Amino acid sequence: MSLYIVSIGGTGAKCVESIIHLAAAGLFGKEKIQVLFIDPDESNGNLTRTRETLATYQACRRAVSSSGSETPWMQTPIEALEVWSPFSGSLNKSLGAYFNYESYAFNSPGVGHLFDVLYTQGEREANLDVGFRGRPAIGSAIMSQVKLDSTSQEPWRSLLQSIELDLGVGGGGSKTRIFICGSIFGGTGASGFPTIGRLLKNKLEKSGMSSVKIGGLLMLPYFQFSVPAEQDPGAIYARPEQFLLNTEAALRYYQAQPIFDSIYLLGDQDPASVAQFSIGKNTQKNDPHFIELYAALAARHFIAQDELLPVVLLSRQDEQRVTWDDIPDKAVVKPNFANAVRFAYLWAANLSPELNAGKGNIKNFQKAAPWFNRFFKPQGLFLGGRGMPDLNDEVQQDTVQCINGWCQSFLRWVSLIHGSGGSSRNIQLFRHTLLMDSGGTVLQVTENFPKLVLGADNLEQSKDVTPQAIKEKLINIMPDPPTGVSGLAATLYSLCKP
Amino acid sequence: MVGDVIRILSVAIVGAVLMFLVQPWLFQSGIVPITQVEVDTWLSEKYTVGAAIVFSTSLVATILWYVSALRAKVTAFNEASPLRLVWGLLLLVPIIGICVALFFYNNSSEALLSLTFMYVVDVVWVYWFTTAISSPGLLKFIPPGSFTVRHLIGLK
Repeated sequence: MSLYIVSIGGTGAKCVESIIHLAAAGLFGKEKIQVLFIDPDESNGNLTRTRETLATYQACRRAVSSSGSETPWMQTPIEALEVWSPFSGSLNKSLGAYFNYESYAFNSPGVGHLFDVLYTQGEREANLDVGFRGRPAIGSAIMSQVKLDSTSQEPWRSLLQSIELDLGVGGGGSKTRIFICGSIFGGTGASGFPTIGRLLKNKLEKSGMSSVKIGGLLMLPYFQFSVPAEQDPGAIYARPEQFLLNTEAALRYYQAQPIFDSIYLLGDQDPASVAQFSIGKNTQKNDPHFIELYAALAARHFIAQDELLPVVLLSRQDEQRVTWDDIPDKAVVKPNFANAVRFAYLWAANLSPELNAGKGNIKNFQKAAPWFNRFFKPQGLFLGGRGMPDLNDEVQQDTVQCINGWCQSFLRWVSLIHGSGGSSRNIQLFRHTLLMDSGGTVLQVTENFPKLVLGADNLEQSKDVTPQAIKEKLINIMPDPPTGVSGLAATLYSLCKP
Repeated sequence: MVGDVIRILSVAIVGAVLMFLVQPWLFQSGIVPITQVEVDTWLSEKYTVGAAIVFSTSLVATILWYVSALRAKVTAFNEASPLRLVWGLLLLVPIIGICVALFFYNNSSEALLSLTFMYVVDVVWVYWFTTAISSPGLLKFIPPGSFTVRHLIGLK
């Protein structure tokens, strides 16, 4: 099974961010995921953050893979194809320039007049390096110019080649799926989603790769923002009051377009408020939202099903809160997700500060941290430890930093999706206030460790799951665990299983 | 934990054999000579009581250390280090035991030196060695020298 994710626009990127985090928690199996980002606004804050999250994940995965451990943690290889922008290489990023509007006046005035009817002067001339400004009509025209038949256009060429390779000669190879995600209510996602979906479907059919299933995830309006009073009302930008109207029109369109083998629609009747208004670029950086957790679970559902359903339905039990009972495939998702959160917290709040403090004085540290010599070379005469790594080695210190980076990123995401419910909803999966303070610093209160997972009374009451008990297990674990920081992290991860 | 208790019991039994069989024999056989008092009477009236005090105070200190180590809430290395002080304070219990034994249960000045040496060895064996190889969990290397001792005898 291979999964290709086509992320369209900022919302698509945020969905990929969630997928990366759940993949880290071992919820996406061992098969490779390849991600293609599509965004005319290459500096979009959401896209940038997702690419940073991916880079953190990849660095951490590389660092810990040396342990050879069989934990589900970071078992999924995730690769990014390039970010594709329809404007890559163009200096003038406007609709008019893209279609050579100025030349129509001389060459084909009829087309020029049609262009005038379809697009206002503002829409023709608006600089699109911030994205399609919430106007799907602009985006659709530009996205439809993707030349999937051209063998030279990257990263489409790499994407199709890779799919071809997965399918093997004759197209009957492994199960390969493409998952396209984006928003239905904005500009880039709304225009790119159907256009790219259709182009890919046509291309795959033409190339004899029709066994490849295409799934789609459309995010219905789930956030809103206030447009500042000083914003020119005549300017071209996304308007939250049009989100529902755009959505309604788009849904009518999809009803008549059998592009996708399976389609997921996710939304929220009580949209979250985005603090900062932004037309695009690096300021368009919205906090993660719990709906994006469901987006990642939709992608997981899409690859897990042998027989695809055209429509998948899900709802929550209680309007006021989201609990583990509202999570699909809870029996698998909850223990894996909880395992990752518990590990990330224990590492960031306890093990990492200890390793940092201990590296300067290993001789004393090894006596007060008896698990140390199971993973690292002890200091002193006649103590053995031949072949074990030195904590002060550069590689070991880099690994500590990589794991720290991932823990921070993961815990931040978990905290923010809990905070995204606003005042009307309560996200009750983890006690997120115990994870981080408001400044994003991991709270080093390890007594809270057994209380992190909501609805897990067995963890809160058991003495076997305290940080002390887990560290004592590190001392006595048999057979000998993998060594070094990566071995320590992998062993700790397996011990944090609820 | 079971291993720790077995080690404590084993070392205590060896200590008892050392204190109540081997050491009296050293006096009886004349290897450690005592001439001013009648040896058998001194052994039964003085040495045995004194040795019992040293042995029991050492064993009580060992048990107190083990129980407090078992109950200690330690999640970070900097919380473990201060417990060395507790170990040191508990060491005072057998030291006081030695003082009491020597002051009240020894009327032979010529045995003072050898008796002091033997009691110190007994405390080293029953308290230090036992705690060095039997301290539980995250405090296993807190008794001084335990890190080296455990590595040398393969009890990492």
